[in-house]
Amino acid sequence: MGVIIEFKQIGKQYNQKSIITNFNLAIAQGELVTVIGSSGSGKTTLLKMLNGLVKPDHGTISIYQQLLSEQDIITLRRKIGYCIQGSVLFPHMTVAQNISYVLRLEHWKKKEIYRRIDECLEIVQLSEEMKQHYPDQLSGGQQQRVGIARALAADPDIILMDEPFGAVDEITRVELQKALKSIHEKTEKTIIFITHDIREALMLGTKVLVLDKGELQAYETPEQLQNNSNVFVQRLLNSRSD
Amino acid sequence: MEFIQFIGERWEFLWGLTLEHIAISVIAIVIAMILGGGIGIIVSEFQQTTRPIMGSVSFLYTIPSISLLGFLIPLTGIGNTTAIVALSIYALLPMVRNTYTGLTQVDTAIIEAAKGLGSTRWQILSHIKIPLALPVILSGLRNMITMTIALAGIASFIGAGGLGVAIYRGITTNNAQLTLVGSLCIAVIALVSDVLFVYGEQVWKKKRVACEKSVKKKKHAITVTAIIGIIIAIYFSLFNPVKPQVKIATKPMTEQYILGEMLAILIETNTDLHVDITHGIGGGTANIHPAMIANEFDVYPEYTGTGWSTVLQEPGIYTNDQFTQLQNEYSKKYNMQWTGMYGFENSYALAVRKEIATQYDLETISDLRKVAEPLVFGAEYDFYEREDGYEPLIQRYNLTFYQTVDLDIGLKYQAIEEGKIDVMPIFTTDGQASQADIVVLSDDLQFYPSYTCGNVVRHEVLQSHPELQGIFDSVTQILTNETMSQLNYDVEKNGIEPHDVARNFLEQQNLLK
Repeated sequence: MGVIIEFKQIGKQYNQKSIITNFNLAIAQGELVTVIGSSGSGKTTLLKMLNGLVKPDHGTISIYQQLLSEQDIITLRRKIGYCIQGSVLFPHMTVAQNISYVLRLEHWKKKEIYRRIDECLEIVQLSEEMKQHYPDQLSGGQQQRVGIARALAADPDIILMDEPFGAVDEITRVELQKALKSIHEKTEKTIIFITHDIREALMLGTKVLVLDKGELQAYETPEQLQNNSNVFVQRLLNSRSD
Repeated sequence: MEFIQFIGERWEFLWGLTLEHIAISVIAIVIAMILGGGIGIIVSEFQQTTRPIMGSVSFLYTIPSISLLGFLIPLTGIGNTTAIVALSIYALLPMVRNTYTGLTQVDTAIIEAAKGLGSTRWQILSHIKIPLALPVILSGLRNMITMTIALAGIASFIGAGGLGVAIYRGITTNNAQLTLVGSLCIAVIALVSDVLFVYGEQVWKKKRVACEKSVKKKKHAITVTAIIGIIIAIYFSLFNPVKPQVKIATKPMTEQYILGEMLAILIETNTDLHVDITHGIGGGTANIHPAMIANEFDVYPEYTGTGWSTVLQEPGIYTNDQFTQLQNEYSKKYNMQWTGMYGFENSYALAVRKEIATQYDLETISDLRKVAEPLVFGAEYDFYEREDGYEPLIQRYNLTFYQTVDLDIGLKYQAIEEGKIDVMPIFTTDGQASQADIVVLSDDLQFYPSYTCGNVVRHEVLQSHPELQGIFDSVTQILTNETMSQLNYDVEKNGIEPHDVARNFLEQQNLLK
């Protein structure tokens, strides 16, 4: 599979503190990359660089073999699904309106929108009655599912997820993980998934990206990672048993 | 009961004012809503504008309403336009502030989610920020609506319509019922609009949940069109596309209302001209004269002494032999003239109880000199402080009274009747002067300027409507001080409408065909 995302010599500082240092990485199409690292390791910053919410101080990012800086950022964002912690649904819109948000921005036909809403609800395993509900009428797990559905709606090739399961209970999380895995298997989308849970990273990822203090520590399959001698990786793996 | 009867009698008058009040308020509210909402959006979207714009808007809000109206008169003249401008300015702050607060307190995570999903700045504003800020914006709007309706009551101060006219006229003609009804009507409009607002908000919320988007949009379009239609209709009815040919202004005084009505009745009966009267312009000459210059009014009743000192700003005391000079100056400087001199004079004067006048055979103030010593002088508090008040007066006439008494102006006539005071200053056309047992002493040393009453008219109007001259000629010398004060008494104490008093008088004089 070809490379879909490429970071070249990326650096970023906030208030003279280095967040990302000389970061290089090529991600192949169809990977589910789980990103793990201690807090402040630059995970979210990297993710937001992909949809232009954060601009690197230096270095270049290419998406679909094209420099990010040369693409129209609004068009690009609509082609990249985005799902963040707590899912952050629009509270004044129904489930259906939340899911179809990008579709409406893109002026899809009404019929197509209705069809797509139903498809997305099915993918994230939510019943149709939910459509007219408002976010505050949903459980945490349901909200997360709607968040994922919203990210999937415009059928983007790339989906960015920033700890989407951070705020739900253990049982729901396992269900959501299963759901995500099956979505990935069915759709073969490229998914970048930030987590702070090493078990989740190993269980979900086709590749695991380990970050520490803004530097790449490892980018390997979960199996390869088990044998990595990097001190930070070892410490992470050991934390599993905690 | 009496109160309800009063409303029944004045129903048409009050209903007209109520409609006008609503129209003025609605127009100001809509302007402030659009402008304030727009400014609120700008200050929240462009941070560098926040401080200067919010500062300016807050500053405007602190200007006392009376001064703001005063500042606006040279710019937008007298009448509804100025009222609407002033009301819109006051309504801006709550609108701007709530829009700003509402928009800036939207959760940044929600905004970032919208941005990350590919919304443009405008789409974030229209799809996310404004709908989420709406509850805060609406609560600001609700306050603003009530405030504007209440504040519209002062609009009549600068000659605008609305229920303020009733309040102001009630105050100036000593008609407490009129003032009370005017205030009540304003309170009712404010309450009803508040209830309607809350109801509308609830209906809208329910519809939002139940309705399909397309239907909602259509319904919104219909509602918006209907509202705009109503506003346009009200606007045209209010600003009267049929332009009156003669515009009369009056000061906030009972006799001016009567004189204004007299002119209007005479002009409309005897000519084909259409008249528009704006009664009780606050500030009197200070605001009417500039409006005359700006061609907003064509004619108004004025007093020679006021014209001399306030308009021409001539030094010294005006006396009747200076009339030619007054006339020439008006003509030269303002292209206006004095005409239709009514024959009465609204001047300051001293009055004594009739029995004293008879006893000592008093006719002039000078006659008082030899008999003042045992007499008690009574006057309102400020008479003792004024430049043309007590001290200069007794010095000029060399008077010494036994005692001076401070009184409320409303109790003066009662006090002299009860013998608590013997001498008091009055206006020569005071309504009560016609009824009281008093004799008015003439100002033989001309301590007070002469305030003969006549009409100030723009030359241009007389040239384009020469038939008006006949009207002014017909009112020349038709009123004496006694008749004028009797007519004032009819309005102030007998509760007859100025219009009816004017008509009755003209009929008596056989001036109506």
